[in-house]
Amino acid sequence: MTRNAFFSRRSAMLGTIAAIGLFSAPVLAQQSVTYVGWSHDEAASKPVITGMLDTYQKANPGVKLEVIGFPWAQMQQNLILRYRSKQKTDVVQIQERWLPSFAAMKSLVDLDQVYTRKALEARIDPGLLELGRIGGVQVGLPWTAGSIGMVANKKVLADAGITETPKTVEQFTAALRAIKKAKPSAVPFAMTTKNNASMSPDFQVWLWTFGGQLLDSNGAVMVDSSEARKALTYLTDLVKEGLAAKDIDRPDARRLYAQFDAGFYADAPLARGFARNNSGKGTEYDQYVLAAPTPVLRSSDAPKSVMWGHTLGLFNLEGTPKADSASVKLIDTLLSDESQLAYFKEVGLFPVTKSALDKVKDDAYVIDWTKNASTASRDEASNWPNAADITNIVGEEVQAAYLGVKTPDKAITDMAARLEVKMKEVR
Amino acid sequence: MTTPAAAPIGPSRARRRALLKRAENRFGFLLAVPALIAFCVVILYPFLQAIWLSFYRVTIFAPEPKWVGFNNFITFLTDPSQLQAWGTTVMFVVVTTSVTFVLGLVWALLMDQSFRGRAIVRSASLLPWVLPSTVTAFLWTWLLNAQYGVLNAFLLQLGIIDEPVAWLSTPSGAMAGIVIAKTWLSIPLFMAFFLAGLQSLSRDQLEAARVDGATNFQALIHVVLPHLKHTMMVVLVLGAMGNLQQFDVIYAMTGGGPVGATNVLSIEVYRQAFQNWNLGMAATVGVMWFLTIAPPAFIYLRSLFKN
Repeated sequence: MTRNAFFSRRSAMLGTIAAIGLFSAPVLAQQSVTYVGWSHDEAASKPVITGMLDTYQKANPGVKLEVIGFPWAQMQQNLILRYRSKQKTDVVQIQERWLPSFAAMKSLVDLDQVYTRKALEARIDPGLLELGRIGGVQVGLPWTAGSIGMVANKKVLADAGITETPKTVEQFTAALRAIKKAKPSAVPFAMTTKNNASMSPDFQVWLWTFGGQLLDSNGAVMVDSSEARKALTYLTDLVKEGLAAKDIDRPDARRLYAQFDAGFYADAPLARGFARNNSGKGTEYDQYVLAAPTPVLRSSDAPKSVMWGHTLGLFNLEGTPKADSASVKLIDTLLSDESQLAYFKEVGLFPVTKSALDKVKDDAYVIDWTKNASTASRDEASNWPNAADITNIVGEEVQAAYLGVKTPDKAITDMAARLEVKMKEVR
Repeated sequence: MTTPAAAPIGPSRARRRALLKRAENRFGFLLAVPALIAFCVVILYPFLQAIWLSFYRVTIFAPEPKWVGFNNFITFLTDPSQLQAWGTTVMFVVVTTSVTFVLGLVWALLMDQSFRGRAIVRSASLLPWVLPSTVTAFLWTWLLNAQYGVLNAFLLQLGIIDEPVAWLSTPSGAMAGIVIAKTWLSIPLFMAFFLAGLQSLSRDQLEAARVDGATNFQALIHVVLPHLKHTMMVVLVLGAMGNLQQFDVIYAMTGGGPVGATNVLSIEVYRQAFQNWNLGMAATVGVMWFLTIAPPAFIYLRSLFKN
């Protein structure tokens, strides 16, 4: 073979390889899925979610699955940055309160277009689907759903001689006093008194209980009201009386609760899982965990709580995928009964599909929680693009009252004034 | 001997020397090019970009930046919470730098004395510096925690307090907490500088002072401290700059709370950029932060080049 012939044959071979590569590239691209979430990186849920992803990979060997994780606190910003920089991102885990921001960016696929409304409602209760519905568009599917509701400790209550779960605010206050009397070192109500992100939703529950609200649907500030003052005064008095304590965030409350040092606190359904781990007693601790309704002013009122859940969405960087695409199949795997029940068993997160929920209907904790969460409302801040500003303002003013830096009256007045300035920018 | 050859030698030598000098300069410049490129890409460009951004309204949700002139600066200078962040930064820097300076100097003077086990104590003194700052922050948060903190447990045990104190829940307590944590973290660095300075002090000078009847205190004031003058300047300026840039310890301990009491400019930049997604405002706070850092940085560089 001459030198020229060798090179020309080699060139032809290389050309063929390049052509194969070029033509096969789109095919390969269709067969890769990028999943971005945070739960698969958390110690408690890592094994079970890794199992779900392995199941998907085994069922779809031709698909290249890339799994990317960020801590929860950095998840929203990383998702926004990935979307803005058009980095490949298909299936995303999104906290329910971030959905309005992503919906405003028009970054998520309308899942009604992928599955059809009828098919979704046959699979998941329409009430639960609301968690992922923004402005009439199904931008996310609930992966786990519940509320930030009240949890009571049966043993602490029994030790204080409380035989019935308090229903009204009056009964609740009496129960807290009884707990304090029975165990002076306890924090009867471990409500959050630090971290704006925790204090803001917790305060809103009491604000709604007393009949107030932060903002109306047009973004007008409504918090400068007697109801808001009553709510904040009530909570501040609990701190003053020693029925609630300073320097408490959700993790502190969970620890106190697991050590029988708190009678009540507000948390997501994960509360039981945390109690199992923090007490070191595992499922043995379940007998003390009670999903209690948030106290109401009048016994005829509906108990209030904040909607809470993790959703699964699809970024529209590559358009709307078909129902049999690799990314939609991944969502199907994560929402299968097998995955949902394993997640519930290992971590305590509630399933969302009708068929999976049917299989846990004998669990009183799930039944009680679901019943209490039926009147849950979305965090008011999450409806607005400046949610972080609203959360910080509410948290700071509420904390100022708890710590005695301001009177509840002044804190509400300042909260309204500060919110007014920020809402003007987005109305 | 003829001299004509000598005449051209002079200018040719000078020319050759000049050429050599020029070549040396060029070579020196070439050597500096990689560092200059890195500086332009990593520092200069982002810095100019930040200045540019500070004149725009840029949020992560808005597709295009919108020119707003000095509006962001006006907002910064009229918003009480932003001004509070500025004031808090100044207070944190002044108090932390001063306390660390004094304790670092005292510790260095102690470590300069000869005593049994000095090497071990010196090594152990560096421990806070070796620990990651977030670990230090969490350690102090745990020590000062109201419900299960070690300090409260200790004080309750001794009967000094009747009920747990929420140290980090009051504005002054939280500020004291972050100052203590940062001071603890920085003392080894300050001490190392002072110790190096002390070791270059001539023992003869000290002996001469003692022969002249100087007491320990007089020797410290009239011999040791004047000798450490330049070191003190460098330590003070570097310490102030480091504290101005402090983020991790404060964020991990208090997140800027309670009620914004420990919200320094570094945290405000983070809050604006990554919580409010307002990149224009974050850039404005960054520019104001730079203007705060610039004077000590200028003093430091001037003193560095002068010496």
